[in-house]
Amino acid sequence: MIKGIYANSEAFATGLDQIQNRIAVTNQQITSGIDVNQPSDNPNAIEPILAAQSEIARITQVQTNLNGVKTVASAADSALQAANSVINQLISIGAQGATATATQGTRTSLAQEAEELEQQLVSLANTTVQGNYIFGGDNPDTAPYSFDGTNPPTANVATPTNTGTVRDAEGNAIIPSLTAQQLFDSPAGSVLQAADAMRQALQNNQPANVDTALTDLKTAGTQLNLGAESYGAIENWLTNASTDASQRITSLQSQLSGLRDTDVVQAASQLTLDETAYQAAIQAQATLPTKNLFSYLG
Amino acid sequence: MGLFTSLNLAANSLEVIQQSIGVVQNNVTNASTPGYVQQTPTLIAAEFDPATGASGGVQFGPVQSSRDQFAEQAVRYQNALLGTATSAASSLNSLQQDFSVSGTSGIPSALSGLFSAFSAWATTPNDSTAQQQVIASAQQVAQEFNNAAGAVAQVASGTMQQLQSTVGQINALTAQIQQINVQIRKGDRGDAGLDAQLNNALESLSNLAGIDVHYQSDGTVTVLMGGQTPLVIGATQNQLNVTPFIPANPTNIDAPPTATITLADGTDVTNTVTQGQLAGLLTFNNVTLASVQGDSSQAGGLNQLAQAFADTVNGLVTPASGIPLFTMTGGPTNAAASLAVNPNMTTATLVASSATAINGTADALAQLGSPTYTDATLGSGYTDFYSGIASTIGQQESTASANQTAQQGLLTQAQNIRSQVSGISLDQAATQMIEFQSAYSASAQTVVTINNMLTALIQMTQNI
Repeated sequence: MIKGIYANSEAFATGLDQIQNRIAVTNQQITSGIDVNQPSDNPNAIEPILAAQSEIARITQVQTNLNGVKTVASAADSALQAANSVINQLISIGAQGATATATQGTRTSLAQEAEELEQQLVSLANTTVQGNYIFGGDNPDTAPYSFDGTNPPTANVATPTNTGTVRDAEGNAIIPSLTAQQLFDSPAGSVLQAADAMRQALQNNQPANVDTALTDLKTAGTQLNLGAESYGAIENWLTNASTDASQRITSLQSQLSGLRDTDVVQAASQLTLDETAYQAAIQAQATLPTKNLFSYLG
Repeated sequence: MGLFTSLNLAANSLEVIQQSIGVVQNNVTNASTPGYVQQTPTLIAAEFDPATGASGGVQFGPVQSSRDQFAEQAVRYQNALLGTATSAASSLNSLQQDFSVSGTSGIPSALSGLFSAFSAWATTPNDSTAQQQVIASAQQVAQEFNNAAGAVAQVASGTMQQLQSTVGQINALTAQIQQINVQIRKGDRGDAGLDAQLNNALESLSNLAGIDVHYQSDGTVTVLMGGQTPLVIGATQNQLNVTPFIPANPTNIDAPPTATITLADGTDVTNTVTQGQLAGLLTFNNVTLASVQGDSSQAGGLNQLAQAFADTVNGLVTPASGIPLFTMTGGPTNAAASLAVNPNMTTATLVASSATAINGTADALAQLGSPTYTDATLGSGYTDFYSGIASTIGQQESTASANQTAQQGLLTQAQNIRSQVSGISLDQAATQMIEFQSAYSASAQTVVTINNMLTALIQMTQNI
């Protein structure tokens, strides 16, 4: 819309307006620290910016998941080490009970110790973190084993599954846990059965069975150690995945910064230039002659 | 030639010079009046031949207008293009505000939040807290789509109001031009003031709609929009209307209508709106907004995104949970506005397992946020699709703003050229005033001299 016939004045006002707009935009960029505040600021950068932000959010969640699983794996590792120690104690008890010099009274006393240790093994198989049974597989709300002190420990879930996975930033998945059955009741060597056999052999004063249980216990201990090694590998994988995630986040943040963060030095320089141009324009306008011939007519 | 003849000639020249000074004075008075151009008095020498008795003298001729129609047409043309760019830039700027690119708000942030919730859920599939987070994040996604759809609808409503307002202004200006035509026919053709009003109205009109102006032999103007649609012909004005348009058998029944420009008799003249603010608004409404919120034949990008995302999520959730996570009502153009979380979905009904794994559904849902994931319907990932919409709007706004700046410069240039040809120079006017003042003094002195001569002659006669 034409407001007057003085085109130069209109152009001057429009030019001033444009400089002011540039100053406002630069000020906003310096204040916010971000160059791209709306789509038109740099349309071509929108896709990479949002993709980078989305990826940062995704990998941050991956890292949160990894850290959560790492806590569980670490607790599992500790539980398995404790179980190993219990097995060693049971082996020691078994060795005492297997000697020819051991009396029935000695074995009965050793049986009581074995029962306590068996109870400890069951408790370790039922280890919880934040209320979840870490060896419960897909049933973290159910204790894997029960033990009444008399009968052998019984599994509370007949055929437990364990499909919970965790993914690294690349999308590779692992199952970060083993079930209590896999660790404590493996067909290749059941810790719980061997411990129970030991308790019962001692209780029943059966040195030959104590000997057999001792052998089974050693085999089961070896099996448990394999489980512990698996957890070691899981922890290593989680650590590597977490490190990789951190590196990716750092790289993406750097990429994002390059795409949208304000180059403060350049922005400040631009601001100074624009402010100088603004002042110069006003001063130039002020020096233009405002008189005409009518001013000199008497 | 006698003394009385000379006296009459001198008196006549005083009158002519007075009229000339009046023209110059009128120029000075109207130096700032929009549409006014310099008027030049013309003096015509009367026949002078003492042998035949022609006594000479000066006559006041018709006042010459310095208006240059080529310069006027150039200004109107640039003004129309400026109008197009200005309305486009302004409208696109409003629209782009509804598309957050900060990554910390709006749809992208909500989508990231939901993908994170899926990912956490996949790791702890039976954790009710993780399930609750999935439902809450899904509600956030739905809310952001609703907000975006609402904001775009608000821009659409504002655009429709602007269209109505612009058409109202066009009608008011064409009514004014029609009235001026009537006055011209009544004999005011040479009125510089009326001419200024006419050209000012034409210039204002050109910013609203691209027009062609044709001068008729009776002095009236015919104004055509887009070279075809007559807005004013002589004493006749054709009023424009904005009419919402939905085709006879629309693909999308509940789609927002596009806008058409019609004459009073219903003739659709939208195709002739090619320049000016009206053209910018129409293109924005019928092309840009339609590509985002949909129209009778397309769902619109925002709705496509909402529909594709909800369908994919539901396709994964429903087999496990028995009910979908998201619901939508209405047709494809209502997807974003109506997206909601199924009210029957609770932590108890939200099931993470698939046929093969207890976290199979949750894990598959988490993969939707992977940078390598491509939705079959959209042909890209969800965040990428959103980026495409925002980027397109940003690109259009950026181009429109650049056009606006360039066009402002071109208009100024055209106005400067016009000003050089027909603008009023106060210096020139002052010089003319001095010139006419001198001529007036000389003529007045002639009267005094002749008067003295006559007085002397009368005294001589008395002495005889």
